[in-house]
Amino acid sequence: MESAARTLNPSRLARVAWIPLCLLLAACHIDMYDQPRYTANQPSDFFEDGRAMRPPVPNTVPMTDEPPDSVMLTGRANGELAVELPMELTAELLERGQTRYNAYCAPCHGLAGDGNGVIAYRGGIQVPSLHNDRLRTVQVGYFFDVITNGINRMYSYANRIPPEDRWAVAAYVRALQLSQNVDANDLTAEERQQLGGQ
Amino acid sequence: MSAQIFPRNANALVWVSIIGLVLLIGGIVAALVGLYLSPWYTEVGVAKEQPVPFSHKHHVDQLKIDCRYCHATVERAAHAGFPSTDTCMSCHSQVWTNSPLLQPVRDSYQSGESVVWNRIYDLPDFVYFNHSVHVAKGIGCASCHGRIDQQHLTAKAQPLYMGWCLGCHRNPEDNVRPRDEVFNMAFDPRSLPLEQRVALVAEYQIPTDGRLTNCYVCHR
Amino acid sequence: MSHGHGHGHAAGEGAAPESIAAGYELADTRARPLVIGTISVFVLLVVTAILMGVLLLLAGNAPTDLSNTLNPTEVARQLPPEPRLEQNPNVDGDRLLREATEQLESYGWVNERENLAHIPIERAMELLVERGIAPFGTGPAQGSGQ
Ligand code: HEC
Ligand code: HEC
Ligand code: HEC
Ligand code: HEC
Ligand code: HEC
Ligand code: HEC
Repeated sequence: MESAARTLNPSRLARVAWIPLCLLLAACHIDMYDQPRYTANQPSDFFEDGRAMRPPVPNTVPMTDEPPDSVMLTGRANGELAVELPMELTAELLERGQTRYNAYCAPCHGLAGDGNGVIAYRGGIQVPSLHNDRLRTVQVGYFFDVITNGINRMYSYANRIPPEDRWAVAAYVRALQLSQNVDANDLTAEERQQLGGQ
Repeated sequence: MSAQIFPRNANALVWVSIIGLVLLIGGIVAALVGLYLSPWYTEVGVAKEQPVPFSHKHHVDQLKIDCRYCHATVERAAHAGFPSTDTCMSCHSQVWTNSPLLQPVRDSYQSGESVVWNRIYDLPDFVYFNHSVHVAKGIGCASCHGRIDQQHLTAKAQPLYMGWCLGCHRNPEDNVRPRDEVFNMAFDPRSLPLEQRVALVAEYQIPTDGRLTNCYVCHR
Repeated sequence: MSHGHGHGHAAGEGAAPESIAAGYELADTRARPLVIGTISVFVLLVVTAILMGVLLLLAGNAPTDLSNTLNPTEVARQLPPEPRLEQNPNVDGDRLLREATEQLESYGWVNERENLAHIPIERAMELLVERGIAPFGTGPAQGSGQ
């Protein structure tokens, strides 16, 4: 009986059966999950302000093709607010501006620019309409300037909207103003019919 | 005769042991799998405590703020990023200015120290992920983050298993949507007919030759 | 568990005399209780699953709000006390967006006497591309009060 068991040898198998259990151990170390390096948005105990993402040192100049005092980056030519866009006015630019405007400005200024955005309404912020004569006649660089530097109660959006997109928004604001204030004589006869009345 | 005599029930005991052992092993495996899939391990649906009880339901669904207002780099960079204190203050300098809930935000604005949010979605460091490519190729936030606009406190909608990433990389046509619907939480890609989605995959030039499942795409 | 399992043999503890004579246990396993036991476990599993399904259905909806996984006291601690500023938030937001969209997608008069109209934004964008940005800034306001 003993020798029969030896030839079958189940006990020897049993002796090594624990080996697969070692796999359980292998799953337990996490040093590759949290590697000793900084990733975006991580806190840091090395830097004084506790941030791993470093803000640029003062007086940093953006590394673009544009010189730092160009119209593209400042909205001003020779100290005066720019009258022209620093890029070509195209349908794509306006469409780009539309998506940016709806994301960043519409919460307060409203989709139509009348100052009746959802936040303005709910939060009780007084937001001026973009449809008044002063803003209709102002240089387009003024919008760029407002977005870049903010104005009174409105904060700057420069850290969220890159300069090219700021120009797109500025151009779109113009389109908005035009859409709400167009001389009916400039429209086709067909369109004038749609206006009704007359 | 010195043979061992077992009681009659010994045979039954053998069977009970064998079946019991099988059931036990099966049970342990099932329990481990269950644990692996359970929210306790995956954190799916488990909201974490945050320094400020920020509500996406409130800000996105009710106040209609676009994701990009706060996660501004999502189209341009690998990381969507967390809103700066300045971003909150652009509204909360005028709205709810005295709310005690927002005290940490105001403190941060005064002191310049960041509000430290508890991460909800966090891949292991050996995985490379990039938001901008997914957004540019018409994968909506909701495909990965679920209906975050319905969550009061943010919680995972996805355990972020590798198999899940691969599933979509094999069949992007199941999840692709037109680019202008990427930020629309309510849009369901399956509301488009399959041919239209296949056409979108072709239009966005998403590789379908299996290149997207190469290990080095994500482990680089 | 084995007590009183007479099986045609002598009742009581220990092996039957036949087995002792043979030198090994003669009786076969009694498979029935095992089979019944196993089957009943599985039946119980299935019944439980069905019962839970029925209960969940009766309880109304499955837990859909992913966010309320903090326990109620924790939620109560984190949310501001009632009454909250908003009573019916979705309605207002949707209405504002709808009105603005209508305004932006239709033709209509702003001021008929002064011949001022509003036009769909798509059309305005086309017009602006034709005219360019500059006239707005330099000249008098387009079309305002002629
Ligand atoms: C948080 C709400 C809010 C958002 C978002 C916002 N604004 Fe404003 N905006 C205001 C307020 C408030 C004022 C009035 C500022 C004042 O004079 O006190 C204003 C004023 C303006 C003005 C008028 C300045 C003047 O001379 O009257 C312009 C132009 C403007 N915003 C453009 C924009 C653009 C473009 C965006 C998007 C990039 C934007 N705003 C986003 C709140 C906002
Ligand atoms: C008003 C600002 C704001 C808006 C708008 C916003 N978020 Fe957030 N989001 C936050 C803040 C603050 C956090 C960090 C706190 C938290 O996790 O709830 C966050 C966290 C997240 C997280 C979890 C990040 C992590 O891993 O911890 C995801 C995912 C997310 N947001 C997606 C979105 C999407 C998708 C949208 C658009 C539908 C959106 N957010 C709109 C402010 C905002
Ligand atoms: C293909 C799936 C996918 C899509 C689509 C997606 N995300 Fe993410 N998101 C992730 C993953 C994975 C992480 C975790 C990244 C990490 O840990 O490095 C993440 C992390 C985040 C975070 C945390 C901060 C960060 O940058 O790591 C925010 C905020 C976020 N996503 C917002 C968004 C928004 C807004 C959108 C829609 C424009 C979006 N996500 C679309 C998968 C996705
Ligand atoms: C675009 C404007 C805007 C931005 C940006 C914004 N909020 Fe708010 N938030 C609001 C408004 C409006 C309310 C509430 C008004 C109401 O109750 O209707 C609010 C309410 C809140 C509340 C109170 C919640 C409640 O249910 O009463 C908290 C907390 C809060 N916000 C946190 C934040 C944080 C943190 C950020 C920055 C990531 C932020 N908000 C960014 C507009 C904003
Ligand atoms: C819902 C669908 C979907 C999911 C889920 C998804 N991806 Fe993707 N991913 C895409 C698509 C589509 C592309 C675009 C491929 C292209 O055109 O190059 C992409 C591209 C990528 C790329 C860049 C590939 C390259 O080199 O061009 C990386 C890296 C990546 N995904 C990582 C991940 C990771 C990591 C996950 C899981 C956390 C993930 N993805 C989940 C759809 C998805
Ligand atoms: C689409 C992106 C993607 C691709 C392609 C991919 N992986 Fe992964 N991989 C992941 C993610 C995400 C995880 C993290 C899963 C988790 O956290 O559970 C992961 C985890 C792993 C792990 C587990 C590491 C651990 O310690 O848990 C291994 C091993 C692995 N991947 C190997 C591979 C191999 C081999 C390939 C090529 C056949 C591959 N991966 C291709 C995204 C990817």
